[in-house]
Amino acid sequence: MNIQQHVPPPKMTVDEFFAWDGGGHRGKLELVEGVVRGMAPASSDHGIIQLNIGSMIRAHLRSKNSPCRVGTEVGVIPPLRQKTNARVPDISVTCAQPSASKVFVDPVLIVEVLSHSNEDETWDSIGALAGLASLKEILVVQSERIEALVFTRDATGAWPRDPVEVGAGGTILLASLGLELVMAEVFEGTQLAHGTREAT
Amino acid sequence: MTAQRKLPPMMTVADFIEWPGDGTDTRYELVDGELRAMAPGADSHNTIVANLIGELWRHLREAGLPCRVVSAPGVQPRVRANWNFRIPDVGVTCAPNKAGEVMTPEPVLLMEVLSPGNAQDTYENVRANTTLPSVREIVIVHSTAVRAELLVRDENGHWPPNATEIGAGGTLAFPSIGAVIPLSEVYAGTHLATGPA
Repeated sequence: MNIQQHVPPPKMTVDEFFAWDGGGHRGKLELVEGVVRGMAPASSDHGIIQLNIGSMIRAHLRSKNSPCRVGTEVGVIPPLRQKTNARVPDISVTCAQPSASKVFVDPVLIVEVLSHSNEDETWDSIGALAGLASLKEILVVQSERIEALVFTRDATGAWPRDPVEVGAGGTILLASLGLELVMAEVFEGTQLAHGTREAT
Repeated sequence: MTAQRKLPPMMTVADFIEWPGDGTDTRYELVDGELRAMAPGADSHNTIVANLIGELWRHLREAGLPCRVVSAPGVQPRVRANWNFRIPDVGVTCAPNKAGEVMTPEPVLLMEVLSPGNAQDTYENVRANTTLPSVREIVIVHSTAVRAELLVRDENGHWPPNATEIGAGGTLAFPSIGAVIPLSEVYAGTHLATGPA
């Protein structure tokens, strides 16, 4: 293998991005205006929270015999300049027909787990995806403190100015799925929940 | 040389409006609570902005619409409105101006003039500004080529997945205010102008 293969080309299309070998990068990768944007590898708490939420959504969809599908780190194409942009939410849900597409078409819910190292990029991605007509809800969960933020579109399709904040002991309401997530279960198994997390 | 003041950490929009600046004339936007400096526009960029404002102003007058053109309007996109204050190049609003108001209320049309250095930030701003319920159209006008990207919200309130590309000889149509502006007028007086403006 030639080391030069690991250098990303200066600009890529979405098709090239999904056919690319990732250049040896270990964290999450997104495509922003044709340029690959890398993120730091996720922490253990980040990964645990991501799986906890994904598992609860999956169990809920199954119990309802829902045609919707949940995936982790599936590509989603934001509005505007779709040939050269792809974002990768930590979790997303689509109710579109299964297709050969490498991305989720028409997501209804995206979930992002926030860490200090990826905060700027993640808010940027959330802002980029908020314009998708299909998207009904955005859940943002902190991985360094017990807090979640829920943005739900109102009946007119408008996003709220500010999110509903949920703290320790609270419950997250995902109106898009008719699902309640208990914060204790969202953070179950994390260092935060055990109070063993080292001060940063 | 003047020492620049240290930039503050995370700010809310309320903090940002009260903030005296960094001690220079640099203009900033607030993006997710962080300051983002806006580079001064190039001569062609600023000429295009002036042309757009002039064409819009004339149209609103002639059509007798109770709307106004605003340069560098402050807008707060939804989803974390409290942490975002973006500044497009040009806006049109049909809401009245009030004493002491910093934000431009209920913009219906927003315009960004793209420079080579700010493309990524501009597209990010445009996506964020699609979350403003009052906005009906957004146009991105390039300053290095005769080219515009027009986004028009449909009757269901949805934005198209991709912009309509408009090139030399084309026109910008803004249904919200019934304006049709030829690109030849947008680029008049710039090195990109073709033929008599």
